Amino acid sequence: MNKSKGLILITFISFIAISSISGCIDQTNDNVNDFGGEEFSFQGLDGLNKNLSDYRGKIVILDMWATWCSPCGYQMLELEKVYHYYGKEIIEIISIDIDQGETIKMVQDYIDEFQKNGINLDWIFGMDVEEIWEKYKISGGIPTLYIFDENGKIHYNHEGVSVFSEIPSGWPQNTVTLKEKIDELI
Amino acid sequence: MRKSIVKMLIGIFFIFGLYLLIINNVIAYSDPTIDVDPVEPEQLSTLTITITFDDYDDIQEVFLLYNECTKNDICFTRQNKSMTNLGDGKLELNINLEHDDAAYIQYWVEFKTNEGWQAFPEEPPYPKTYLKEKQTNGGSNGNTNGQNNNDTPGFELIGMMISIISILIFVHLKKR
Repeated sequence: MNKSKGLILITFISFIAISSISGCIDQTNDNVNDFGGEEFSFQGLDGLNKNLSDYRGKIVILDMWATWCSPCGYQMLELEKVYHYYGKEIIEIISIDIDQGETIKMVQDYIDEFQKNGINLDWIFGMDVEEIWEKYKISGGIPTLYIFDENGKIHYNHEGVSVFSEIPSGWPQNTVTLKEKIDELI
Repeated sequence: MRKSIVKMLIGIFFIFGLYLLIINNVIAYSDPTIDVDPVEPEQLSTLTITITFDDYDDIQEVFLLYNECTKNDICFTRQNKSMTNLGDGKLELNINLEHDDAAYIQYWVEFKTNEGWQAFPEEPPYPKTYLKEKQTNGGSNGNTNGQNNNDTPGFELIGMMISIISILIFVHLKKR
């Protein structure tokens, strides 16, 4: 009888051990700084290096994109709504061009093209020089967004276009909106 | 007085003529044509892209840039590959499609001339070719949203558990 109990116990412990070491638990994160917030560096369009931690105290949206990605253009329109709804005192958007083959000039031309059409992409843009993409990509597609709280902790991430608040027709009604996720932090 | 005016006019005409000569010498490239074979490729298949230039003499290098995107508007990383010159302004490249959830592929060309790098089309939107869904036999084990999430365990964990329990029962029975 005691042997059976022992066997059950061993089986239970084995199950827990296997679950712990299996791929479903992959919470290791070497990007976290001493205060528990995430950290990464990027090159701004002025050529200077900037860090995520420069924006502590604000909610930060990291938007990973590239100029050739047409859905990323649609994402910019949604981010513009976010930025102008909350304002730069509450939120900062960091749009990082993850394509190493693209240049600051290409990004600037992209922003100017929106400007010509009356859309002001006046948040932070930068280039991925510190392997941000390698650290934060989900399955390898863009646009990919992360929302960091005021302490730099990851609150939400999503691969594909995220809308501000209104779910376009034809989209699943349970689509998570950026407003919903940002409001959880305010 | 008249002579100096005439000289000045000749000078102006000369400079203007020189200017026109320089302007006309700037080579205007006609747009290349891009052909895709097959016209309706399948996901994960191999397709051939052929680029034809009318004026190829001055072109030194040609790269095809392309990427696959899903129907949910997720675009995968851009690829950049050098094209094989077939002669007569024709270049070719075989592409192996890599994503089983891709809905379309978009592509553009970058080519180097004496004037530097040029692109066709110069900016988005780029030409797209829509992909037919690959016919699969039977279902798949694991996530169905098309994302390559290797962190999600499948049925192999259940198999492993069954094996462990079977071994333990076997050992237990043998001891008895």
